[in-house]
Amino acid sequence: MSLYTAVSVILVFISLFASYRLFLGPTIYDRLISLNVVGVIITIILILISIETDLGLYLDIALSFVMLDFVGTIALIKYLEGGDFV
Amino acid sequence: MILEVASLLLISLGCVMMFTAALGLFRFTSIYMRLHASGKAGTGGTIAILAGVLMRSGMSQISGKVLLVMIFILFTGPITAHAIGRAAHIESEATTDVPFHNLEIEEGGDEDAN
Repeated sequence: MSLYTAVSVILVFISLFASYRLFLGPTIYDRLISLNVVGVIITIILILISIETDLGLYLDIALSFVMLDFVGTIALIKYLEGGDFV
Repeated sequence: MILEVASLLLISLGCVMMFTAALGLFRFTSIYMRLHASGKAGTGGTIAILAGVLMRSGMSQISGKVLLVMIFILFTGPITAHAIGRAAHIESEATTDVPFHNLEIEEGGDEDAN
């Protein structure tokens, strides 16, 4: 088992631990914070998979995933604040 | 050799920081404390892990994209945390546990005190 595989397994368990608030957080904001942490961990795991298997495809997936995660979180927050956005 | 040891140290430090973020998210009692834990430790752990990966992989076409993801997370992590905290402060039902959530600055008063 190489280093990146071990780090990926550790990060999967950390993200399961962090998704406690995602499933039963008291408010919607707790779920958003937890979703942010889980999305960042998924990005790191995608990068580690890409370097481990030498496939550059996963890096593009990671880059677009982190951008869409950011835009989705900001859009959801603008909706929750009641503001108007396009 | 030094690069190897430094990258191992950075990757393990990043894993510990990510675990700290998850532990704070699990354990803290109010939403601002959870935001504090995830906003700082989560972003810092990500930067540490990706910097360690960059040190191990060396210069290539892959490491440029990894650097791009790292810079993007470095900028967007605090922005997301700030936006969530602002939205939670606006909707004040979300902040029931905090004893100081309804501190309001007197309007037209002492701006110099801040």
